Amino acid sequence: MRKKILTAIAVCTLFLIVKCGTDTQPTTTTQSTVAKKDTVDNGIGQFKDVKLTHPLDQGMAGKGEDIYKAKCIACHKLTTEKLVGPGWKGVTDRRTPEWIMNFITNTNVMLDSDLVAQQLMVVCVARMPNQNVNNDDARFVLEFLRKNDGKN
Amino acid sequence: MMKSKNFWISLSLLNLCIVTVLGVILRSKALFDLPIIDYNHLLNAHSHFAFGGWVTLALMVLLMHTLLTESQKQKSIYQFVFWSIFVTVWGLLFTFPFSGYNTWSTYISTLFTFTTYIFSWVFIRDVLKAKVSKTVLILSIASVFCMVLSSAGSFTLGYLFATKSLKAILYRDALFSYLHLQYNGFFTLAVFALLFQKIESKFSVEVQKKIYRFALVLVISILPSMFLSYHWHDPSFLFHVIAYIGSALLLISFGLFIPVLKAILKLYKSVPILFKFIGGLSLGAFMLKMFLQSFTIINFFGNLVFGDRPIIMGFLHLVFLGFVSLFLLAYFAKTGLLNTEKTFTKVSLVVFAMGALLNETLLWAQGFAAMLIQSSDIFPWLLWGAGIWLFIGAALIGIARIISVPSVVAEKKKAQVREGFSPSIPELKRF
Ligand code: HEC
Repeated sequence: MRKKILTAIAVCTLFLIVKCGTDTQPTTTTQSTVAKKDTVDNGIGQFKDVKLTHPLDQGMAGKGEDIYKAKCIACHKLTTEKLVGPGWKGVTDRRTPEWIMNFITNTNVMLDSDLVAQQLMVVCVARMPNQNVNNDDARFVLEFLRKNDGKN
Repeated sequence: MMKSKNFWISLSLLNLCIVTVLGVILRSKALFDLPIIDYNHLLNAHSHFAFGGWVTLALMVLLMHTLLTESQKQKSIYQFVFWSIFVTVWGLLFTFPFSGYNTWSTYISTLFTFTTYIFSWVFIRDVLKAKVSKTVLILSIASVFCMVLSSAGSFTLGYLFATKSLKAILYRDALFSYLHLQYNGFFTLAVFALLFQKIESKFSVEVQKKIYRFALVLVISILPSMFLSYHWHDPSFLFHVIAYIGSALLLISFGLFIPVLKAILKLYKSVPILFKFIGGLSLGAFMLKMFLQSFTIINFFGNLVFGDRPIIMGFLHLVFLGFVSLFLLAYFAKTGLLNTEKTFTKVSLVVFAMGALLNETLLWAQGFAAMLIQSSDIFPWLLWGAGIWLFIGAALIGIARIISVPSVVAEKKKAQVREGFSPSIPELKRF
């Protein structure tokens, strides 16, 4: 019996490895289509016009990093790789600063009504909970996101 | 195919091992580049496998074997149910990680759910005729009933995912209702049914009455306390009232549990330190759970907690690992399903229990750090370590089970005797 179980496990593992290799393509493509559509979308919320500084503000980025490590690290990686939510690399290219700030501070409304956010939810099969981030902190995170994308 | 209790418990322990492997992969994903793995799909596999393959299977097998009469146990429908549970969770293991909710995984999880219906139907009819105490009867029936009810939540979730309409309120309500009915309903009540079935007769009538009162309030509290999970989105006045009642009932059953706990502690005064440690952790986790749960009534805490992922994870693992899994392991050890005469088994149990404790501590620490906005990028690493620790613990327990269980041999002999002579030799009381 034990032998049978072991063989079964071995076969299954093999199957798993093979299947893993073949199934990766579709997810990446869906993600990039989502990413392309929305360069003009500013999202829903109080932020209509966010002023950026060039070069970026290292102090704010540092505070943003602290917030990231405390509140967002469980779900977001800094690379392009998806964890619970999308990886953050490139997010400032695919979204406007306003969209990002609105999304962080007004998460529930955005997820219920903003098309881009809803598409993200379909890709991620999860819902980002409201993180109780205030406006200043959201701005710090935005600066950190810019830094992460190598902006200046 | 008629398989013994020992066989199914071995399989459930194998499944526990797989659950911890999936856990380690999930935590690795946060640290390393693993693009071939989709986190959320694997998370689904991890949780479904933990619920179905480990806890549901083990609880069903134990409920059936300890509560029912010898002739009821012989029914082949139970074997069918266990096989079906086992096969469907393995099916989910090989569909969820790759595609999440798709046709196949939905189909298989529906089969799983129908299997739980069959079990409930047969089991409830049998246990009504079996000779169990009033306490064990209400606990076990309510437990199985909650399992059936929870499927409404999981069907709603499946529907939401399939139609890609993840509306905030419905999504969270469905998810939390499902989790509530599984954790606080099915798992918790089944654990107490098993515990009291084992020890109730050793107490005086007076203590038995106390146990009954605790069990009754616990059962009654399940549905009202479910409304605590709806509290956050400010539903109607009626919902609030029910949530308050739920919270009060939780605190009352918490209070009623204390004398019961005292009696249990007295009864187990002279058991080896190992049981005290694992059993103590398990019951401690239960009390903490009741306490925390009743506190979510205060909106401030509710809001703070429901968006804080590490805290939610901490709570889920508190109940699942701390309370239910450690109870099951202590139960296995106490009833000879794990041979604790061997040092190896003891070590494996201690390693696993320490892993659970470590995991819990880290998740809470990360959760509180998040509330206080303390930067904490060391936590993913520590949690990764805790995951590996738990895997090692689970693997050691599995090995301990394989190499050192004389009862497996005894069971085989007994089975031969049973087949050869009469099917109704009463099960040897090992405890
Ligand atoms: C519980 C997990 C979780 C936590 C914690 C979390 N997020 Fe998210 N996040 C998600 C998910 C999932 C998405 C994708 C949208 C969806 O499905 O809800 C997302 C999407 C995003 C996006 C859009 C990304 C893109 O590619 O457009 C931003 C920006 C974001 N989150 C910022 C944050 C910030 C800032 C924090 C911390 C304060 C945070 N998130 C914490 C899960 C989380």
